[in-house]
Amino acid sequence: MHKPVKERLEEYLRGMREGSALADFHSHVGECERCRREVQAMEAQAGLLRVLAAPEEIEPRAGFYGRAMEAIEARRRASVWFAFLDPTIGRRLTFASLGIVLLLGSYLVFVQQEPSFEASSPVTFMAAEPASRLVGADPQQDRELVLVSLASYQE
Amino acid sequence: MSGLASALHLPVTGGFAQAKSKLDHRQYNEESALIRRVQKGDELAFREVVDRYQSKVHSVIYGILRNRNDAEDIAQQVFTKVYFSIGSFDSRSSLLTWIYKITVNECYDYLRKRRVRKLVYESDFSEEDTLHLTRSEAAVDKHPSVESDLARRDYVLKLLSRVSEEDRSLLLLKEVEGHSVEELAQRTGMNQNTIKVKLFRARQKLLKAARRLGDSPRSGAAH
Repeated sequence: MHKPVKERLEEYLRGMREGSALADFHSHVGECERCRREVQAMEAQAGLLRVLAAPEEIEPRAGFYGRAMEAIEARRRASVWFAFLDPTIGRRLTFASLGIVLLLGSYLVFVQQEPSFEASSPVTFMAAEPASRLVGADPQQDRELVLVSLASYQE
Repeated sequence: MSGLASALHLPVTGGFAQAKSKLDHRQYNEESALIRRVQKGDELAFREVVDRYQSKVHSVIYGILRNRNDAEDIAQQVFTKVYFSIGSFDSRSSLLTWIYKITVNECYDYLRKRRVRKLVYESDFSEEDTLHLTRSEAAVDKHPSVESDLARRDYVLKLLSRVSEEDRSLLLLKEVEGHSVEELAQRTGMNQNTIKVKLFRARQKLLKAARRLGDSPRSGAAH
């Protein structure tokens, strides 16, 4: 469809037939068969669409608002989130959630506890506060010091 | 809303335009205030919305479905949807336009479900039952004009199901509700050129759908 027709098509379909605004429209449609056929088809189509117009304005039956609110309440109750507001279900969910949190918390606490080392292991020894490292003062300590040095020696 | 000026095809200028603009502005502010109250959960405000638009909604549904009982059921669904969705309504279009779109969409959802139910229901029939049903339908004495009205309506509904929801609403607002391009631009928040382009494309899609279905209601309505 050509521009002069496209621009004024809606006014024409609305029932406007005369006026300077439609001069170009009418002039083109008179000359262009393709545009004329398309305009006629759209005019017929527009008339067909009007079959969906209600013959008169329909008034709802009395009490419509009440029934609409009942439908809204029914939907609200059915909604998943409303379950949390329900006293019985909400309480159960709360206790269940607390139980899960306690379990998880306990598990994390136990898992993250520091590992226990044996008192005589090299790591414990190396981490221990040096009391007095006077050589010869404590033969046992000296022996362990030598052993740790040997064990941790790296080329 | 089109008024005397458009009936006489006079350009809207001067004092009349200013008065019209003031009235539109006041109506817009009033509507915005009402929407805000509903969004905050004010039940009285929601009641006002229902009272204002219930007749329109019922009429639109009846125009499409031609059944009063269905009109009530679907109208309830429309206002339920309005209630739960108004929080996300951004006031780009007018409230009526938004409710109108919801109404048309609910009608189409209903028609889709009814078609599926009919197929499921009929699939349980034996060949003998189907034959009996077809014969008894043909034997009913239907008034020819009612029959052709129904056929035309079914055909139009079928055509409209081939376009997008937005195009469908625009076409119905233009042709069934009788709004001008200017009014549609105000109601939808789009500019007039955009409306014209969308309408033109929607009409072309309908013509294409009509060619595929068969150009007349009779050939299109038969399954």
